[in-house]
Amino acid sequence: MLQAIDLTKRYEDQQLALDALNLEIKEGEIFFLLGANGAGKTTTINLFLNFIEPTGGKALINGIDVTKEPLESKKYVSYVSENVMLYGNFTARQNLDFFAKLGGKTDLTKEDYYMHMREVGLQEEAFEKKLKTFSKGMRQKVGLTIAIIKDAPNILLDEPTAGLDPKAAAELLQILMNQKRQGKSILMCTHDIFRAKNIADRVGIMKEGRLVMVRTREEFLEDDLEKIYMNYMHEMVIEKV
Amino acid sequence: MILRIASKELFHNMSTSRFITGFLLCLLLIPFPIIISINEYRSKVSMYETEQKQVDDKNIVKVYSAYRPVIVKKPGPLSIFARGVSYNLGNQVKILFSDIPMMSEGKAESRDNPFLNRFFTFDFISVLIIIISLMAFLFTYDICTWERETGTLKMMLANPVSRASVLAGKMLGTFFTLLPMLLFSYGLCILVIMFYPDIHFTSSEWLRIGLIFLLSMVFLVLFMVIGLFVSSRVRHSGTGIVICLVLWITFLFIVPNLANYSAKSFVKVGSVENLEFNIKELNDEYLKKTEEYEKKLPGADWDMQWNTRWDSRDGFNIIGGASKSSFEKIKLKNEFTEPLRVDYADKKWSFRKAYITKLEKQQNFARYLSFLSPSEIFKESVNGLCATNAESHYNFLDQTRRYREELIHYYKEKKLFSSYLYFTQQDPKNFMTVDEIVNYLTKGELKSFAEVEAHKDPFYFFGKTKNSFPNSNIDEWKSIDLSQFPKFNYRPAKVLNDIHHSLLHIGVLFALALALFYFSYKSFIRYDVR
Repeated sequence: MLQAIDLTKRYEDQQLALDALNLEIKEGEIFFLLGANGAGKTTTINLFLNFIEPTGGKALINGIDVTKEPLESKKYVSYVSENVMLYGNFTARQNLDFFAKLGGKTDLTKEDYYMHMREVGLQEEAFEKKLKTFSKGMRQKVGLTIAIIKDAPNILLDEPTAGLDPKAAAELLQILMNQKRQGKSILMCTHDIFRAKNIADRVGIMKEGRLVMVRTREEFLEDDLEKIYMNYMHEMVIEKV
Repeated sequence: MILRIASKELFHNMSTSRFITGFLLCLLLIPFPIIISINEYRSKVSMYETEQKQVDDKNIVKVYSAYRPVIVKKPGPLSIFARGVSYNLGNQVKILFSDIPMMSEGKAESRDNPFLNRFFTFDFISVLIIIISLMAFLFTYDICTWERETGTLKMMLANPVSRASVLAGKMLGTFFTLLPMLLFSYGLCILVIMFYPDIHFTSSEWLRIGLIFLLSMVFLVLFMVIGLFVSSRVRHSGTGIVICLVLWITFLFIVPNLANYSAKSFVKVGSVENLEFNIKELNDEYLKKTEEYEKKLPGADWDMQWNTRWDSRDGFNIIGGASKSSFEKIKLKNEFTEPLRVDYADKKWSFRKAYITKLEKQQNFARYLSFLSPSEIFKESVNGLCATNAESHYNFLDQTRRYREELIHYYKEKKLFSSYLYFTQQDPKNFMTVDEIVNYLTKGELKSFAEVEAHKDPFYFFGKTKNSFPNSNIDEWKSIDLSQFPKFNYRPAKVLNDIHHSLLHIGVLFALALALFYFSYKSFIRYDVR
């Protein structure tokens, strides 16, 4: 379970990146956080991963305060970034091995890695190839495999479908659905409103560091999510003008 | 966890072109300075053997005044590793009673063609410093930034791994990446040396080589930590490499030259001409005193001397034959002039010592200023272990001075200054009066010195001589026994002493590395991984 309680981040230049975010993502729930660039989506993920310190409030992973116990909290979370680069001179399997061990999975065999890579749809011939030869879609799949291998109860994804072709994006979302079925709490930051409509249980829209709207699946399917999102974006554009 | 990150880092580094480049650099740059240094060392040894032979030949002395030993310093094989200042200074010291040794003489480094001297040569340590510091920077300038730029730092820190572990692991991995290069460089060096069977190292020298290797490791770590510190303070690898290159040039080239230039500008030594003028005044004063004393002595009945060899510089005086009164007068004169010569040497030394102290001050100023560069601390320490630094030379000169004191003490104790053997091997029992000499040399044709004096023509007497002065052929005199004389035994600084010094330097370098690592850690804790 992921929880943000009045989670706030103000940078040294006084820019308010996140303004008292309150959010709770339950087991087996996919939460899509939508918003324009600079709305505070990535800041939220950075705060959950303790990459930056909050200036107010707290972020909890499975009830553990990430600021007070960062190492303990990170045992219960997996992370997939927007552009998974990993180590280009290592093979896919070597990358998996390194990150799996960092995540505490020290007893996996080569066959286990192969099995997980098959699960995300990577071709056999790619398993022992250097990652620098991979396309972005393939790298994202390796990144997702790392998250799956860790088998943490929470997954944070930061724009994972950006730059992916529709097929690769669809495959990635299918994997997320599988993870949801296993009871994982999933927080995904994205611009991809169409994917949100397909798999999100709840959707939140962020605007200038604030969570301005949260809709359940039933609500946003009824209200036309795209229209709501565009309205918020339009308001923001007008405000800026 | 640290070991896991370290092995990842090692594996990653080994798969980069930097790693291969490092080994190629070692392979290309290490053997040549070693071969040059070996050849220079062998030529120094051959020069030493020739000079030592000449010195041994000269040590066949007939009178005590002729015994002025020359000490030749044997070059050490560790100069192959670091030549320090040893090749810029002479290797000989002549023990004189009229002067306390100030600097060594003899051959310093020079090439047959002096125009080639502008092409300075590197020794092993200089090349090692260049390679190791450069490689340390090349592997660490982006140690934090490239993982931030590729996003792998975020991937790592999204796991239950502390930043301290990440930092320590990366440093450990990089250290084990660079350690093979260091081992390879030393291995290559030893391998080249093994091709020269005439070069041997004693167990003490092997110990010193071991210490130099240990120092090299600390030096490597220090430059790695400097690179780490830079990388932890910047956001982009491009900025990191520029700062590291500026630091590299500053540490290796600017600081040493600036230190020498500043020392020359801020610490004035004074002119050698001034020193020489003061020395000349004291020499003149000494001569005046000896002349005044000589005037007070009872005049010899005949100043005529046979088979004389004489050098005013240091009291060297051999007299094959003379009248009894002449011998007695010279003995009396020596009793006064030789101790006085030693006294005046002490007076001259006060000026020379002041000059040397200024030279030392200037050198120390340059040295301590150059310690702004870690590579200079390292070089100084290695030179110390190789006994090629200025201190080793001072130590050698100090020992020659102590030996001179010992020798003078022996002369005084044994009353050699006031002995006839100080200037002649004629037996005092056989000393002849002037009349006896005239009678003997002319085979009785002239009976007394009065007859010689009666004739104004100086060649009158020589025309009458039929005998040569008895036992006056110096070449036939036997060499005097010097076995009881104090001998010079050069005692290089003890290994323990050098270890103490090098441990101090290792400590300084290590403390610097630790301090910088601490600051790097502090930076990395706050490092924005986004």
